[in-house]
Amino acid sequence: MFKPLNKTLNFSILMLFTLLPLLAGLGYAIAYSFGLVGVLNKGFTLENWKILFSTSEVYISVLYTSWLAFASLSICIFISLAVVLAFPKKFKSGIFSYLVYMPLAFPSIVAAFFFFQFLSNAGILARLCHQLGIINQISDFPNLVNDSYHIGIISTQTFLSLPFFILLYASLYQAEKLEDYQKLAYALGASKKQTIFKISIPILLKRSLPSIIIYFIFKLGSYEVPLLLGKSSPETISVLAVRKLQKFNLLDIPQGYAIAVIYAFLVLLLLFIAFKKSKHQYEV
Amino acid sequence: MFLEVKNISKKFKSQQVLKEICFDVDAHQTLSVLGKSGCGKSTLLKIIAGIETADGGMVNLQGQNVLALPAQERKIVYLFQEALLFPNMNVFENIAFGLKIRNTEKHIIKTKVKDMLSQLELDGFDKKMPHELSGGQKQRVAFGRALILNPPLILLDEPFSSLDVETRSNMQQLYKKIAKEYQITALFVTHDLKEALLMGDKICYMENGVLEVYKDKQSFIRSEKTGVQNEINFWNNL
Repeated sequence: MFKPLNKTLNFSILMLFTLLPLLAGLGYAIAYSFGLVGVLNKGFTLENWKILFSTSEVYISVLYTSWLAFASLSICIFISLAVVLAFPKKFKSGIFSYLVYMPLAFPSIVAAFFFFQFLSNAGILARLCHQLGIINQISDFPNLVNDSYHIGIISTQTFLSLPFFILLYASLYQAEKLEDYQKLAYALGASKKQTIFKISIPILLKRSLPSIIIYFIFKLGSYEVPLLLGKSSPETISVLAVRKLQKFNLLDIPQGYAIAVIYAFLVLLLLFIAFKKSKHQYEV
Repeated sequence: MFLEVKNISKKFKSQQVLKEICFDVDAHQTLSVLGKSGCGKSTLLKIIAGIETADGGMVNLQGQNVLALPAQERKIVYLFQEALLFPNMNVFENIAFGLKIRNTEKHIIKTKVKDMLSQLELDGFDKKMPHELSGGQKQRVAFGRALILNPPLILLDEPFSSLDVETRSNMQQLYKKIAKEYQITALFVTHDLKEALLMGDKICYMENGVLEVYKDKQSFIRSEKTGVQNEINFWNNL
């Protein structure tokens, strides 16, 4: 008799603390972007959306943000797969199992400052290269932060994501009995290279796909790292939205909300794909 | 002699798992290895397959000592207790795996896999993923994946232990049929007395790392330590 009541109560608590604030925020952002709320708005209008899409700023921002997330995740997945497949048992215990957690202790802003100090053309790496005689003057060192190739952002994002993926693949390696699959592949005549590329990597990638998508979403929303280490243009979605919402021109605020709505729908679409992909993940 | 195993020993830290194991198997014969869990049966198979190293001894397959060769060069296929179908591949791809890595031509792979699916009574299952199969079907695919390579020696490590009684019985019949048809030479490890008697042309018993080979089924049945006499007494006194 109490079961349905408990179920309703649980659902209500979940709604109240998780979904409701999000839905309320999204509803407010939609209403603001269409001119339905807000001090300077004068009723329903499509003008804010038209202005937003009349320039290439938003398109470039979405592509730029996706590219940064894609590049840093790709490098991160490549390194973590290589590390886990080379040393599958190193992360179960001992010094490696502690060391791998270290980057997790760095907040994004601290990591961004660290990489700024390390990679800028008057930074630690530049001075080290100068001392070693690799470059004649410190200023000869290429600028790796606020640079056109986004090396600073991608390096920092990779550094921050690496422990998550190493731990994910190390645990999947055990959980998926990858060692048994590898032994079986050898017994069936596969070489080490064939075993890695036809068995180990495809299994790990398949199993981690929902996590990769969710982490990609997380990276799309990163703010401090691109703000500190990126160029002033192009801007990532978060940086662009915050600039529109908080700076200078009050008439830009509805566009800031419109960008937030675009971001929210992009995230929901990716989440939908992630959940669909994870549906049959653990049924073997 | 097709397979000749001489003085194989193995120690894990201080524990002697295998003690001077010696036996041989004729071509197209199945040797059942009966023993309790933890007696060293799987370790013995893994050493022959090249998955585990031996401390000493010799494994001659068709006259060649294979102990120094890596697993992939021994042409021995080891079947695990679990089917271990590659989860990133469908049934067709799983069975075709060994042929594909040997760069066999596509049309040959297609014909061979189709024939194998038919032999295994799995027609129409080629596109199914492992999670869509039952335990028995998975084991059949695992068999197919090994048999399609026509290996000189197959090592079966309690392949039916996780199946229910009926499926297990069906699989035993299927194995007998296929073993005869493909003229398989195999080592069949089990802890099930009845299965050892059913599957093997010859039987041996393993206890605490020591292997005793019986010259025929009658001497195996007569032996006190194999447990056959206890089983007979149990049914007679019921």
